[in-house]
Amino acid sequence: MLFNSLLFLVFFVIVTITYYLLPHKLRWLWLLAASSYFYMYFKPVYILIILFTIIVDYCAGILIEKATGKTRRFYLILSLVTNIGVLAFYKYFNFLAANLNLLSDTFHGPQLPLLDFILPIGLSFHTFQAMSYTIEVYRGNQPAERHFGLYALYVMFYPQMVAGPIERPQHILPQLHRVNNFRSSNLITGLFFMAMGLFKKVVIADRLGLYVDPVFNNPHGHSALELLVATYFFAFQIYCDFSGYSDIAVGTALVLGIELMQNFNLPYLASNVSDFWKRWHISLSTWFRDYLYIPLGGSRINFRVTCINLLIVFMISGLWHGANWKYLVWGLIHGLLLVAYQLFNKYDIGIKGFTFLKWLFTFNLVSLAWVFFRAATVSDAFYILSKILAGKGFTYSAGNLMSVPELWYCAFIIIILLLGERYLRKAKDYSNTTKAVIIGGLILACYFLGIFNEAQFIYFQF
Amino acid sequence: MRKVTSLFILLISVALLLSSMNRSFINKLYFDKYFSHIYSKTTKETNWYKAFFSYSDKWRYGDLYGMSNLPQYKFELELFKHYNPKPGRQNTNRILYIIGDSFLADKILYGAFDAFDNVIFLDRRFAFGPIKLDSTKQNYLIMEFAERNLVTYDISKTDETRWTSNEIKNGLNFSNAPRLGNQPPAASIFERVGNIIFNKALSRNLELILFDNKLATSFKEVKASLNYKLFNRVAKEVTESTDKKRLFYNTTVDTASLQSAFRPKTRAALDSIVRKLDIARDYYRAIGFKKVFLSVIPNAVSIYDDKRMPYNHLLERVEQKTDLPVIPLYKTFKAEKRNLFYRSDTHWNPQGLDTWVNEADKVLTSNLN
Repeated sequence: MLFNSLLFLVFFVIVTITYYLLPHKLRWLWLLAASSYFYMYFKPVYILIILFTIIVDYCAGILIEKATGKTRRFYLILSLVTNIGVLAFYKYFNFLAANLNLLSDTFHGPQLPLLDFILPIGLSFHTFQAMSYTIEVYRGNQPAERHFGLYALYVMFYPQMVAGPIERPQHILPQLHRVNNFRSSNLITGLFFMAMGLFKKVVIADRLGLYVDPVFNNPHGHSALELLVATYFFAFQIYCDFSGYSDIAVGTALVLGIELMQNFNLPYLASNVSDFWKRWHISLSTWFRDYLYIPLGGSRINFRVTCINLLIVFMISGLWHGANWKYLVWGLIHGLLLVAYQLFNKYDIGIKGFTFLKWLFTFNLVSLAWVFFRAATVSDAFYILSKILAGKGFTYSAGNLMSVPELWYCAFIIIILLLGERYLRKAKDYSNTTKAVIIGGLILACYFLGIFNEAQFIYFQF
Repeated sequence: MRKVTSLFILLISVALLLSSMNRSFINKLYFDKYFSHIYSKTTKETNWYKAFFSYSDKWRYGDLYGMSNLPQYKFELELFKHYNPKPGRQNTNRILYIIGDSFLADKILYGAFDAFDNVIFLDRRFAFGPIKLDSTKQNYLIMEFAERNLVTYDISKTDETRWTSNEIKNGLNFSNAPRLGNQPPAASIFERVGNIIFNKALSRNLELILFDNKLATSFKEVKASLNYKLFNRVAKEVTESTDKKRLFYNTTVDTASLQSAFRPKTRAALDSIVRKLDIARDYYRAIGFKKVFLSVIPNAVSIYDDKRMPYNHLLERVEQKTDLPVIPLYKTFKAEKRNLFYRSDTHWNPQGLDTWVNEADKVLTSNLN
């Protein structure tokens, strides 16, 4: 179910009102049923996959807690192997098989069959959330959850199950246990976040998508200027699409009395790449930091290991997004940028001041790196970048995709977003009346300037 | 008070959701809305039902208006005349079948042609068949296509249930033979429930229930005007004509679409279309039609805006290449001074249909034997 659909609006109203009308002891059941419906709306049978991992991780959590010594480790590995196995099978099998087939073809070897199915929606998100549970139980930071329904709800809580934020059990499970009484401030602030997220999605991301998608789908048919515009537009399309989703998720959960973590913190205002990753998809960055980077040694061993760890983490992070070489290259680029940043720090060649130039440099690097993320293939990405950098054909003839006034409007709204989002976010602390007025304004803008073309959120595919 | 309000909102929301899942209600609503401007005076529904449910602007002013909501293209559609038989017409013992699409759907044509006792229309967009002809009559067939639909036509991919080649070979009497073959297996209870509650059209159904009324139309028009005036953007399903006097269905214009009148068609593509028409013709002849005619109705853009890009002339090329007797329309329509298509709808207007009836009558009369 899409957040930007009429069905979701009706679903949200029914779920929220019923939730508060029910006694506390039945609420988990209602939320679990609603979350199951939300998930099953994409493809009902895939609920079985998630149910399988929930059962495994629920049992693993209890067994880890009860066990001692090597047995604890065994149960943790069992849980991780199950989760990663499911992820690998559904997300990476075809990628691996296709590449092995390519290799095998060179030597006239046998071919592996490719599997024909649609990737379960949000698989990477809820798998990572499930893994964080067993890891935290193993580390002793979280007691094993005895209530199967609440554990299932932790994995399947509908606002964040398909595209995050990827939560931690210490943060969510206590909130699911406690009695959440209705609070009008939660309702208004939740609706405020939802309206802000919807604004970002339908007013900005989906309008930019009207230009970006056809240009990236046919890069050879467009001039350097058109590709350059599409590149920078995509940077904001993906930000508004994903952070818009996160805002709606945060708002939806807050209306139910559950506080989710903020997933973005004005990432395009970052002054270096390291800073960017502290502001972009925070729940995933911290997941990789806590469960991969630090266990690999982090920055504690020596500089060489730190650099290798960064490259490993970012290449895996790239692949987490999708089974395609382009994501691996995108991850590698960010890994290399971070290594370069570490080198600057190590040899103390940091430049004092020039904040604006640092921001500009970082923003451009991140935007150009997105080309690998969005292009259909790695070779398309190289083609786009080489055409832009060659600077030939700086003409605009894509009026059929977007008129020049609309391009200027998009540029204007991007600037407003860059300058104004921090102030809009502060509005969550304003009075309920002020927030209600802002919500009304955002909803009107969504209706009159929004694009409602049943466009999915980009991160649903991951 | 808060609890009462919540309960009221909850009840409304649940009723809305259940209504959007109720396929027969949605079908009735769709049907009532689709025909509301035609049958508004004759339906027996109560006034509140009409006001809240059956009233629709989506089709009243043309399907292209309904998609774009541009107020400058808000033209009320003229109604089609009924082609009833002339009094005292002689019995001819001939039946005319038309297998066609939306251009001839819902039209009263059974008295349109003096050479035929009856005209039976079968809508290719929906399931029908197998055709059982009255063997005591002479049966003729027109295969009618909108130009945009001709490109993708393949009889084996339509929803028409056909007689098998064995059935045809064994010379069954098609007028009363039972349909052989296996019925598709019935859906399980899980599948049926799943199709209701996980129906992918629920959002569209809710939109049909909530936002196809006079109040919503005014909001939709403001939104459409704003986007048009500020950004020159219209709904993606629609394109404006070069002279800004009419709307076209975008798939007939956008060269990215197979159905575009401006997408170049190679000789091989043309041969493929003609071959598929021949296959259909052979099948229909085999089941008892005496003669099969071809009638391709041009896209509005092919008539009124064919200079906006190089036109592919598919219609004329197919008509020249095929062996089927053809009801030629392109030149007649181009030469016609009257407006033959609605300005805010994908289809022809009553003058367009009348022109077709006259042209078809000429071709049919001269090809009866």
